[in-house]
Amino acid sequence: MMRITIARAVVMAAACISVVPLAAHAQGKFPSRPIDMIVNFGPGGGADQIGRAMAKIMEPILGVPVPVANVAGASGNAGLTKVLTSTPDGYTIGTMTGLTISAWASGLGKMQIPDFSYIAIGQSSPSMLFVPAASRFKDYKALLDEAKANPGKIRVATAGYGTLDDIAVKFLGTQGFPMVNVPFAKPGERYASPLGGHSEVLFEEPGDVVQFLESKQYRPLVVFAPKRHPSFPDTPASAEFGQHIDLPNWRGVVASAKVPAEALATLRAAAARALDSPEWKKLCAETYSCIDRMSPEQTLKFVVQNSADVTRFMKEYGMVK
Amino acid sequence: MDALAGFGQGIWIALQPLNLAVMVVGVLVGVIAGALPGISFVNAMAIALPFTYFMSPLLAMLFLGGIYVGGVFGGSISSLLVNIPGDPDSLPSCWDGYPITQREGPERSLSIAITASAVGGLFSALLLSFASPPFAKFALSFDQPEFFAATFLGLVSVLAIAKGNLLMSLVSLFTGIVLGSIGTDPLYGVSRLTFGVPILDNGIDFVVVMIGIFAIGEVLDALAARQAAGFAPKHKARMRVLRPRELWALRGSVARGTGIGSVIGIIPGAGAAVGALVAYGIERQVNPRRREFGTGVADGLAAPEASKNATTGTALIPLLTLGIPGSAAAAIMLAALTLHGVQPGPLLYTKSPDMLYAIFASFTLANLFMIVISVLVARGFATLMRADPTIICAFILVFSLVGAFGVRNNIADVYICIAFGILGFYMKRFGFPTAPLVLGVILGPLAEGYFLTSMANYANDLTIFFTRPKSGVLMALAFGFILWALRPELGRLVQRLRR
Amino acid sequence: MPAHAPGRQFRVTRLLRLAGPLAVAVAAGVFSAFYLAPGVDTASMTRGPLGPVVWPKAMLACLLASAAVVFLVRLWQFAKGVPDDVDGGKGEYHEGRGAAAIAVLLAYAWALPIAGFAFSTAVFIAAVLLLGGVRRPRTVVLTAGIGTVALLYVFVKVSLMPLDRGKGAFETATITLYRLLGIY
Repeated sequence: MMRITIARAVVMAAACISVVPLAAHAQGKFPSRPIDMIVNFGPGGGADQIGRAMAKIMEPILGVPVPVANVAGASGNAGLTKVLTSTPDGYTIGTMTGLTISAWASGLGKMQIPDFSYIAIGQSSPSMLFVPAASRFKDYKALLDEAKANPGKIRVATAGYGTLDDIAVKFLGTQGFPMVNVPFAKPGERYASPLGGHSEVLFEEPGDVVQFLESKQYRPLVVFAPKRHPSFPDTPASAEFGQHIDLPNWRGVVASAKVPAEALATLRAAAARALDSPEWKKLCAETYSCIDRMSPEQTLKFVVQNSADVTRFMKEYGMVK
Repeated sequence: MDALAGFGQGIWIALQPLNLAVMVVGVLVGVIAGALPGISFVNAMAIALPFTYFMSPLLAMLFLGGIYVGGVFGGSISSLLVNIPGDPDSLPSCWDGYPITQREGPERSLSIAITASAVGGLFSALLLSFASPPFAKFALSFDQPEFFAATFLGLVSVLAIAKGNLLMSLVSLFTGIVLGSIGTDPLYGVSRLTFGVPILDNGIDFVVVMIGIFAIGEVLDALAARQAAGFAPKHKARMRVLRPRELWALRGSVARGTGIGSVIGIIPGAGAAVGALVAYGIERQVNPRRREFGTGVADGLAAPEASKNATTGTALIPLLTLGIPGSAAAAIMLAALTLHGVQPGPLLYTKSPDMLYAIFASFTLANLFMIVISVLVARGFATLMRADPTIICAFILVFSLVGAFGVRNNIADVYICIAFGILGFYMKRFGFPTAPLVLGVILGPLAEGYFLTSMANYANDLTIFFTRPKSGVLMALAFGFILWALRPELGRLVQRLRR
Repeated sequence: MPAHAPGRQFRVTRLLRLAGPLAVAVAAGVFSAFYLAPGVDTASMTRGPLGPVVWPKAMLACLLASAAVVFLVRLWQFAKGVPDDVDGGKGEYHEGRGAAAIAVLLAYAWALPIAGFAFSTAVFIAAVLLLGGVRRPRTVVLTAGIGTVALLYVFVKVSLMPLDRGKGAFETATITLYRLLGIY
């Protein structure tokens, strides 16, 4: 008796489900349903900002919703795993940063550059050193002098070991200016440390500390680049001190390399229009991260080159085998 | 602008119909999300983020702030009605709150909880409104050693929740800390203790562990028990604000909870869960009725309740005054603001004081509206609980797993959550204490990060935790508690040695 | 220990309680010996005395020590015949139903990425109801069906959560269902 009623329930449920696929086959044109934007870091960071802004601008262009989901974890790899393991139909795209790719070099995860199709690169952010407004270091030279006089006494607040931050500190060490790398697990703690006088220098991209720059709580000392950044004409480039290091962190949007060409072309066209939009121009200007729009070939070349640069430093400093 | 005049104008702006409506909806969403086991308020805030795209920055802050304030309290509703914490920060409320519900009915426990929470929240909101700049300076004077010492104090509260089985609680605590260190190390980016299993690279999030052990474990227990107890409370879930005399009787615990929560709130990464745990731990050490804790002592419920809501206001001080996102909730608010091109920080005081004071005022008001809304939600919740217990079980399971998924939108967390559900089910049956394990998973990773950064910042000098004044005081407090808690054992040892 | 359940049950519980901490200690030892950070040369990354495995190692040592002490204390109590203080496990349990509930949970977890959230959840709710003794077909089907649709509206339509849609035919079916429900 009991068995019969259970069986009946199962049959009824099955009947309900089987009606569904008959109903519609409105496949057709891409995109015909929402496209998931996977942000590979938590809310409130740089990747989150580009992911949400791109999603917002691309929605009207693509004509479908682009819901954003933060999939944080494993230095950004968790979200990218999701991008790779979803059905490669173009309905799942994700954010990607140069930092994540350099983390692969240090042995984290098994992903490689060719696993992804690079839809667009929207930002390239310079790396800079900042000090609190009241710091005793009037300029970069003052910092270097003191680092030389008191090796290993100046503390630089960074995002961790094995990062661009780490590379920069090690690089300065090899140039005769040894400083201590103080890693912080959370950005909030990192920004608070020099402000509270617990460390001396902050390593960061200017776009992530806009609030502190606008309120003049922090001031920039140097940008690690061949030449000065147009938004900071008074801040010297490291090359002016004979320090030839260029450590930009780029951010972009990717999809799985298995996504069919037509869908990819649609996504690329939409992303290109988004990057040309005044809304985007305003955002990248506000975060000091504007970059010229690149063709798909140029984009891939840029990614490979950037990764090779970072890996070379990491090998040189024994950060990878 | 004069702070008081600014606040008055802020109240006026906050009471504009649209602003008020958005804030009230936020509180409502927060209380409901908080009350649902599995869906945490951080979860709800992240989900709400896209809705703020279409709002002004002020409305976005009112909406998210409402969810925050409501959500931090909401978790207690399910703690007190069904003994399943709706949020990690409501876990301590189960320990003395649920016994009160069982003995005196939910009206008593809910009333204590909402009153204590509102007092803590209001005080904290007023600190935010009027004392932000000095409090921000105070916050900046804290460095990693202080954070470590505060976390250590939280870990010591395991002594308070051990309930006479100290050794097993320690085993449980260290198990939790070890589990918490699984995954990608925050400073080196190295995979640890993962057995090469990729899903473990993401680490084990404490929200997922808590949902697993307390929601899924509890439901498995209910499903397997020979006599299903049912979830419906015996009495109507009425709820009111305590009368002044009743509140006066709890003044000590509420004041201590509020103070502790206000300070914990400014510690980055700590937040409401740590605030509630530390407040319970300290209350358990200093309360005159400490020996009866765990059996339903009103103070044991009031202290963590006051503390967790007292973290809400001060947690925003670093964000709004300095631009530093101290907690997960603050990070989401930062995302909402920057998306509108608003940069939080000291400039808000000069550039958009209207908005700032409107946020302050709304935060204060939200703590009052929270009372009314919680009364309604608690009633609705109690009514829902009258449904067939099996149906409730099924939906709690789904909510729990969706909640676990939503922590990082990752299916791996669903698997981890189920694993901890099964673990929790068996731990409970074999008398293995579960609360210290959760404590370890929450505080372990914080302690590690603070410890390693302290070492990097102070040339690997271990004495730094004792020589810095603030950190020294916290450490002394922690060791004082250890000695105090071990007093009976130590006394016995001394006697034996004399003989 | 309840008075009505002495004998074998008592001894099993007692043995389990003895073995529990020992198992934890052994597991901790194995962990620390082999799995701290496989395949990574942590020594070369370490700055100063503190590398990425120092903290887990220290905590594993603490775990090992506390578990060993518990084991010794219990062994000593056992040898001296001190009565045990079992405090876990309220009431009696349907072992079979507990195991079935766990099996249903595991099956749900397994099915989620394959069949998608919508279909696996409907079946899961139905399975839990049947397991818990709700046997009226109408109640089961309606609760599972309406419940799932409500969950889909809340979590997919309103909250925009990227819940799994399943693979292959299930994905097509899920998308069709979403279109029918007006979610897409």
